[in-house]
Amino acid sequence: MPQLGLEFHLGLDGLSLPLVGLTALITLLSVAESSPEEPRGRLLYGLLLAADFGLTGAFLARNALLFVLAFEITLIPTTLLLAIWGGERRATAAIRYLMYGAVSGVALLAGVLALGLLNTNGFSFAYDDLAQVSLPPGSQRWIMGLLLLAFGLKMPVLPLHGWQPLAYSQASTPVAMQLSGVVSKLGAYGLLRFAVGMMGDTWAAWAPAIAVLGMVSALYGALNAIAQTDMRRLVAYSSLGHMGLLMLAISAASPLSLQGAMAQILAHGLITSLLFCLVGMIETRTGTTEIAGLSGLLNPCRGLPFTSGLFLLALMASAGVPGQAGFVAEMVIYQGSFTLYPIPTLGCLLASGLTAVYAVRLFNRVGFGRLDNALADYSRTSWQERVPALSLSMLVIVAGLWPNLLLGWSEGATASLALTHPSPSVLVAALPSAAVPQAAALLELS
Amino acid sequence: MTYPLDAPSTLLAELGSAATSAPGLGVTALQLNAGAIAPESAVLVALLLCLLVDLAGEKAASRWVPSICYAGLGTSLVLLALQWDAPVEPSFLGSFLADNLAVAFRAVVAASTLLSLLISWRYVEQSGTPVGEYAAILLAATLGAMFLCGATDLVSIFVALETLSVSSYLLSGYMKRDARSGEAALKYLLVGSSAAAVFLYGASLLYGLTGGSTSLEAVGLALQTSATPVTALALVFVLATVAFKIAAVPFHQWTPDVYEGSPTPVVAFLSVGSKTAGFALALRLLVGCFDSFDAQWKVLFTVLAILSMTLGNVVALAQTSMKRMLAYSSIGQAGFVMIGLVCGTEEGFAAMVLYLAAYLFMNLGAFACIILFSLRTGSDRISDYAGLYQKDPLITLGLSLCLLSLGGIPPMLGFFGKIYLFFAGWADHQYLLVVVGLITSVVSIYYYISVIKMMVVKEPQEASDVVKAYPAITWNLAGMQPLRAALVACVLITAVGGVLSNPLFNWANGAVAGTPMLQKAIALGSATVAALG
Repeated sequence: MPQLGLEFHLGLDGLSLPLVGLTALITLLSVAESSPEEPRGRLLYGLLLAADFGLTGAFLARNALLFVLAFEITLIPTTLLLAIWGGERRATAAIRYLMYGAVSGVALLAGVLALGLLNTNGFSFAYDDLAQVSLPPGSQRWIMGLLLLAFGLKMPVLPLHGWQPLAYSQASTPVAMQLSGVVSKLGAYGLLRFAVGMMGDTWAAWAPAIAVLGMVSALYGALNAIAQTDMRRLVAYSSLGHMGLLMLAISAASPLSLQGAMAQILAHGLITSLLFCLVGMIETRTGTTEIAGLSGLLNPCRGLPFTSGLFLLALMASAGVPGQAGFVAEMVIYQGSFTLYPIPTLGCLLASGLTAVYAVRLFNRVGFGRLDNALADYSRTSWQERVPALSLSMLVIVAGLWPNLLLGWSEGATASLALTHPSPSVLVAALPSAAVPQAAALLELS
Repeated sequence: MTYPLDAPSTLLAELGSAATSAPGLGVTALQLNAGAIAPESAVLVALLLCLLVDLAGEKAASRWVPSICYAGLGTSLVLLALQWDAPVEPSFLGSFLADNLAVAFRAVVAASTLLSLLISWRYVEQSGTPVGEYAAILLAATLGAMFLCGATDLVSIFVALETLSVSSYLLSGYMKRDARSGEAALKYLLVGSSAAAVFLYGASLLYGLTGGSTSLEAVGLALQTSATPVTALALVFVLATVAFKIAAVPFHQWTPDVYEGSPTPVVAFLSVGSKTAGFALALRLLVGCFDSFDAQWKVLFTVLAILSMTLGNVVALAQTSMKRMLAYSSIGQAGFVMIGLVCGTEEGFAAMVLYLAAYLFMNLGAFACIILFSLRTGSDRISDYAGLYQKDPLITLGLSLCLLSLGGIPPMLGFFGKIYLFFAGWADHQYLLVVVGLITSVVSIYYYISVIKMMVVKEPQEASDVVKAYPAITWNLAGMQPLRAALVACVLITAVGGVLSNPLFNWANGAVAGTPMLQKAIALGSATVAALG
């Protein structure tokens, strides 16, 4: 549509290729995860594929309006997926998700319209033209605000995460896998593509605040996860924490930290999907996700040894134990952003430590201990059911041992995306004087 | 081009001399040029035939009337297509102008009548009222609306407006046995006639200002020279009538009651055909004639648009009746269209035309589904739609797609229409309007989705009593096949038309490009911008 500047232009680059792959993989596995006798199966598969279509389109788009289009296309199928299948409060969850998503879409549309129309280099929505965008600084600021609002709602980050715990905990397993595994990545991808890629100056100016936001988000997610009594909500908050790390990495926008961001996107996509998949499997067997109602699942005879074994592995991956994908991503993020934002990085390190706390606490209650004799009569998991979780676990381990799987795809793309920053020494000098010794002390500690 | 004030000649003599040698007036301006209203003539012939057939008795009427109407409206649409891009010549002594804008709007009106008729046969038949009369009145309303789209003379505007209004009153009170229908008709009649009186008063002020000419061109010229309080008064009076026709807040109070009380197919026509004619009138009067009061009416319309979008969409949240909800939604939608009107740029006008065309399909599709549902169950309450997915997938799918499109969700047609409006508004720096539009469209998504939620999400055991007792789906009753055809056509165009909307975009741009009046306004607008910058 030439009148609108909307053209159907697709393309793959280092940023989008891994995400397209992740989308396809997670959709495939979530379809495999859902049992064939699911009620209203036809609609379920149709909607899952529709969401997949929108997501893939958004990652492939090379035109900002096309991106908006695909971004909004995902909203309705995911809302219906949430609303039809899931927990008791799914209707509330779906409506809340929808309204947050609609606000996000509107903010994105306004931001993109402004980006395309205020561009002094002539009117166009193609990425290649937008990359050389030159805007008056005043309007850059609020366009950035709009984009941050849009993508921050989708990821989500701290003050904008209101929909997330409810939606993740009320979604059925395949839906939660897709929502947490891929849909949330749309926000991170948008930040990389638009905020860092097209308005680097403003991003660099805002980055310190965003880094702090990332840190707060990570800490908040981890602390909240510790307090949860329900496995799904725990995983949801843990996901929020990991998104905080991602935010930190993108705010630093150094070549290394952006690589870390891409790795974190992939690793988190695999790990949360795996966690939700396993929680779902445990729920179908035991009938509950309450942590207090479960114990001794690791028991080899009457428990769920296979599922809970994988669950242990997934929790370790989530907590950043070396040898698994999560560690690689977090390590690269810390390395990449420490020189720029030492204090937020240290805060995120602390959050990683807290991740281990809730992971251990959760598994201690659920996996260890004794089986309740009155309840423990769990049916066995069939091979068919195990396939999605098993393949995700394999990928998590393979990616941890051979990090190139996470990092290799996006090396060139992130390097060209990275911003030139003022040198870190300047930044440290600019910190309030009280903060510097504190940072130094923390440095020694670590 | 004003007539000399002191000319003592009678009108006829004046016209006769003007046709041959009047100095200011081109010869072509005063030719009869009756070909311009050939599409209307086709509708008129159909109307007369309907009345004649109706005389032959109820049975003959229900057999012949539908095909007569299809033939008349079909011919009219074909003739309109032939008029597209034809050289613009004023006809009927300058009181009618068949430019591309008129052609486009008349096509929307005729298409809306055609679709409303398709969905109304069964409804009218079931209510036991005569079909022939109904079709004749609806065609008369169409005739008025089509004339209004091209009228360029105060008298012909008023006559067309009243033709449309009187037929609309009759239609809204057509279900004589239903008390609500009577109440709706009375309300509509009272509010409508006062609006007409206000318009007439405004028009007579304008006539006085020109010193004795009723053509809009003369009015425009006269207004350029005289900026008195009286002109402002005339502007406000005329504007009030326009706002009444397009149901802009605060001239909207009739809409919810009339929509709820009137027969549903009539509401379908009123929401699209009548509104389109109102927007055509708005363009002719405000852009064509009040261009020297540009700043004033734009401010007024900005206020009206913001009020309409806010009130329409917010109040729609609280509705329990489907028709009432759509009434408020149509108030909101009119607010969106007004963004294009306020812009006054090429894109703004094109976006208006495009959105009205898109609105035709979305709204009529939605009404087709509502009629089908109420035919089967006799209910109009939103809560009665619960669990419909299990019983009637066609209505569920159709209504869902149309509502999503009205909410502006991609890849439906409505999304592209709305984005074009916002795009045009943004390009013209109407940031406030666009932001209000964006926010209220989020609000609108909420209530559109809540209907979809009702239909799709509810489990079979949560279905409403009405749905539990849902009759078996049959299509073989008289009048059901056309209803299905209209439903499928609207839903298909709504769903697929978005992605393939390039022809529609070109059409909308062509409508603006082929209209001298709009081109003049655009040129004027850009000249002002250039002068300011």
